[in-house]
Amino acid sequence: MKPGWSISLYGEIPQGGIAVVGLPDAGLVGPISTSHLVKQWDLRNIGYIDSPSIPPVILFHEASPLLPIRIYGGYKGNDFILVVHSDVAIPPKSIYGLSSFLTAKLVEKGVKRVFLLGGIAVQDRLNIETPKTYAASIEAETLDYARRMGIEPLKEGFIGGVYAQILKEGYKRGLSALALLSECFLNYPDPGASASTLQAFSKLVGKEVDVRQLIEQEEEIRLKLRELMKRTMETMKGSGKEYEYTIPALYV
Amino acid sequence: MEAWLKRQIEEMMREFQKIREEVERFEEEFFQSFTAREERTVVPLYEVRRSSDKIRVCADLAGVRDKENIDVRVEGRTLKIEAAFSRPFSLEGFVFLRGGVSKYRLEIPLPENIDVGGIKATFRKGVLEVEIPLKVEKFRVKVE
Repeated sequence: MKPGWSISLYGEIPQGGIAVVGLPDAGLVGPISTSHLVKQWDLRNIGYIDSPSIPPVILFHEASPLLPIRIYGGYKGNDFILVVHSDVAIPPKSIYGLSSFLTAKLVEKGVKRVFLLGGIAVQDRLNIETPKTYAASIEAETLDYARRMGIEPLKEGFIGGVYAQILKEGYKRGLSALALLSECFLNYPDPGASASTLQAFSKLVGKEVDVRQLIEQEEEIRLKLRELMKRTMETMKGSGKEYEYTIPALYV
Repeated sequence: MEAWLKRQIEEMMREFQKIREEVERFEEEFFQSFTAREERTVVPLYEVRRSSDKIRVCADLAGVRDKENIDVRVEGRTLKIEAAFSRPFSLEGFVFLRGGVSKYRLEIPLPENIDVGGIKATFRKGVLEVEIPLKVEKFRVKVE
């Protein structure tokens, strides 16, 4: 049987919202960012995404059960913000299925733009005080918008993994998708990179995100997310991430 | 109580005790990857990079404030790293962290040709880097 994806929402989602995605990847920049955003903007859990092709786990928070891939939502000013957050890494064999399903649902819900919050691993991260954030999109107009807002586009090289597939699927379905990738550690949780990603996001949507807590509690977050980072690294093998350190044949 | 019944109950209690010990042993082994119960230690996230003339070990010691709390040593052919948290780490509600953890411990096997005198260790932003030079015979080959 083909592994199917399903979405359950506890209420209606208004048309024309902004979607933000945080999935485990290099430095866990995505889920650290979305988790912080949900708390900062006081967004509510409004649903979940499930599939037999993700690990069979369930979380408990304050004795209440939570599914690993959750949807949060709420208004920030006049805009409805929809956050997709995952506490489990997406296995390589499930990347295509999730990307295709998620973009189809976001189009169906009339989302006007999707931001993919994440990191791009750099070797010299220890010597970088404030990580730089790069914008990546297949759509020229979206990239132009990022450039106008002061976010430098990623100029060369591969992007691998689940965000690469969401960018592709978004392009095919006419959904404006923009990845915001900050320089990060590959295999250590990186709240500093999440702070940079959220600041870039804040600039693009014109809404303030206070990232002080991420900076102040950096070590504690790294310590807490040690095991999730380990699981994510194991899952990332074969997900296309290895291509990010490859120079394409285009340059021959 | 009849003597035989007493013996039966005692026998049953011994069996229960055995089962309990087995379960405890299983739990201990199962959770050992992230917490060794008696010593309250965890293995840090780490990476080892090997090149022809050196080995570089990096470990994320988040939660360790001072370099004075880090012990790096080579014993035989093993690099041993121990580092104490600035304060014990525990998370309320997490059963496997009920006792809290207070120390990182990491052991990395090393090859025979390490240059012990040349080992250097630095600690910045919670990340420990240990560079271990290797004694390598070098000679240049003429390219014709």
